[in-house]
Amino acid sequence: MRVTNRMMVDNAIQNMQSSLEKLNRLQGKTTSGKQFEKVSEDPVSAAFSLSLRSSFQTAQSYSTAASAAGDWMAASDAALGQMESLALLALNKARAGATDSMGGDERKAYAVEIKELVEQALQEANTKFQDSYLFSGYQVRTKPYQIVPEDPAVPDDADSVRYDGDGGTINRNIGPQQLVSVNVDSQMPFVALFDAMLAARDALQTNDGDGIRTAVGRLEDAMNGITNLRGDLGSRQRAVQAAVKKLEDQQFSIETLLSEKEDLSLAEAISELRHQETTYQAVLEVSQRTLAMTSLFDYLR
Amino acid sequence: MSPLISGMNLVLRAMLAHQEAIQTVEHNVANANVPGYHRQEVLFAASRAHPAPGFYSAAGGPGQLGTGMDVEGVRRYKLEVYDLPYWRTLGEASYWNGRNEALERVETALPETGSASLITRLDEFWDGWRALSSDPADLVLRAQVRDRSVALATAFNQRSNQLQDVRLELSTRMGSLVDEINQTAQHIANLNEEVAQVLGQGNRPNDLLDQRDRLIERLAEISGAVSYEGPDGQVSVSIGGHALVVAGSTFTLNFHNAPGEKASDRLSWSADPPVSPGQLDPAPVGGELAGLIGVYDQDIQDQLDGLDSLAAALRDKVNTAHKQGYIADGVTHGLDLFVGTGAATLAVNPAITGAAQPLDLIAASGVDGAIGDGSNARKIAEFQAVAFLAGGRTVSETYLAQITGLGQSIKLAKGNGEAQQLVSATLRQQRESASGVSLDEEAANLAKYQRTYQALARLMTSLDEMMDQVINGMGRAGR
Repeated sequence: MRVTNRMMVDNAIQNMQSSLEKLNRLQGKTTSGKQFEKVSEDPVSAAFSLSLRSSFQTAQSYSTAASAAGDWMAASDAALGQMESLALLALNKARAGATDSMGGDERKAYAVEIKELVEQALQEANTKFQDSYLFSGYQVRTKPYQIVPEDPAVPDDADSVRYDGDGGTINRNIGPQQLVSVNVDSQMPFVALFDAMLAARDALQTNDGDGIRTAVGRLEDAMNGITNLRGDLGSRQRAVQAAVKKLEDQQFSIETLLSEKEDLSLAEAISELRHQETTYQAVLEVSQRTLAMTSLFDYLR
Repeated sequence: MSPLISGMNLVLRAMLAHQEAIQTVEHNVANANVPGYHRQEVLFAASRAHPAPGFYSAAGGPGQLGTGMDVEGVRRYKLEVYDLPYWRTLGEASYWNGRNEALERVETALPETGSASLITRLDEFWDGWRALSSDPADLVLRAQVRDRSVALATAFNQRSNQLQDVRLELSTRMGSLVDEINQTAQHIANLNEEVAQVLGQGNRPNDLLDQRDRLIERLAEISGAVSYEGPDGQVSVSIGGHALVVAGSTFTLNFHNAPGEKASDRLSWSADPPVSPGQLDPAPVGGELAGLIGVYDQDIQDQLDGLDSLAAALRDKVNTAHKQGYIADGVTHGLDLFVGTGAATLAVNPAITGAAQPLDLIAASGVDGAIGDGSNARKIAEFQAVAFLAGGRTVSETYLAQITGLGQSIKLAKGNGEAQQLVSATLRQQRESASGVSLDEEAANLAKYQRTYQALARLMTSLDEMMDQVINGMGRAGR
């Protein structure tokens, strides 16, 4: 093949160019620490990593929602626990008052204590969590329980409790297509408890031994009702905790996969970069010789 | 006397011929770095011998007496077998490179690997609804849904506008390429006339031919033009089967300024009777121009159509659900959340954003009168995983497929461009090998011609001495 000076120079330039281009790409990769910066560099991996990133974000949002549901339920559980112990206290007072050896004054003292307990229980029943009433169903902005004082005009009327909520079941997502109801239907057990406590109070007040004993029975039933409510909530709480755990695991495994797809192995990249630098040096050395090469003109005299 | 004088003539002609050869060497060396230059060589040939009936020749028959040498012509080392395939691959390489550059520009308009990607905006939109479903009465979460809806609509708008900007850029580039094609064609036509004139005088217009080849090469590069050299030395150039240059005349290509039209419909030949768009098929078969037209008409259109249908599907799906839900008052159904006809005009309903209490107009509740219910917000959030688009895909999957498709096209264009570039580099090497200037070769030739010239000069000296003998030395016998 006939070789001209121009061919050699062209080749030298082309070699330097392509070598420098590779060097540039490797440097970019190494500094960014990513396998690719544009989709076109590796469409298959990019598609995979973009959908992974999307799944990661979704898992994170489900995780936030599930944690929030857990917080709501924990607050409900704490309030129910308080209700339970208040009910127990009231029950103990009523039982103590039920003994026939008790005199009217002592029973009156118990009545005052139970009145105090009713006030406390009312506060618990109206617990708010982040501006929302826990026990009012959908009507989260409405105070659910109120004591309606007896109407003196009506014969045989007594203090009663009124429920202003709607018993709505609030469902929340704790995972894709996975719903959990975070609240409890408190109306029946709470009203029963309040009624029993009020009845006990009134019976103690009026020194009505039979009335006290009946109230004790009602209080026992009402307390069972609250305990059941707590148990029901507790089992759902465990489901939420499991979901939160699962979502955290999922996030972790997505992150690992994402890093495998996107992140550069630095050791590999740097040794490749070194190698390419050496290649470029060699290309420069050869090119320098080509460009400085003399021709026959220098030798003919 | 006669052989002496003719001998001097013979030597003189040879000396002049060698001077011409040396000048050609100088010309070659001077043009060693001129692109498209084909090396030249002076062709020597023994001049026509004449019969010389002589005393010693048998039967008085004619002998042949050499008369020295002549310059037969200046040869230009051009091989069409190398030029034509080189120009063709140059056009193809330029097609893929042009396509690649344009597509990469499209990719920068759709920055989907960063945090500003449309997929992220979609995820945030769904997440906003999901968060609201947990606590539908919360004003902060309602504000978040509104803001993320606006951000999503803006992301669609930006992409659509950016793609239109890329189209505008491509349009400008195509316009200047068409201008260049027309100017180059005019130049070739002028050269055709000059070449014909010089050839008519019996000379070889080597340098004009080089110039013309260079222009033809440029046309092949930008438009995939092909050329044919006629017996009269004039070339005809055509693009996609339509004549561009015939002898000294050109047919102008027009690029109409009608931004809404497809690029291929905006090209027409000025000499042709006007036709309605779509009837004419003047699309260049190759070259950068064809690459740009393909991206303009096909790839960008696909991206725009994809964004539009995605925006419309999303708008309809979300609106339907939003209108079934209840706003904060618990009684009234929601309005349309999104308005607009496509990606460019998608926006959050101004009746919502412009209202006195915009946040109350977000329909999160799915139960009449239930402020604490977020089932409608949950329903909208769950559309994230619902495959309601063509091909059983979710919104994100559809868009992901669309941009991955673009990435694949770019990768293909880049790969093909690199492959064609390699082929054309090899062909250029071949051509250069045949027609390039080798300095060593020129040095050797120069030495050869110079030595011969010296020998000729010496011959002339001895002839001169012989003449001197004849003129000044003869007829003096006995003096």
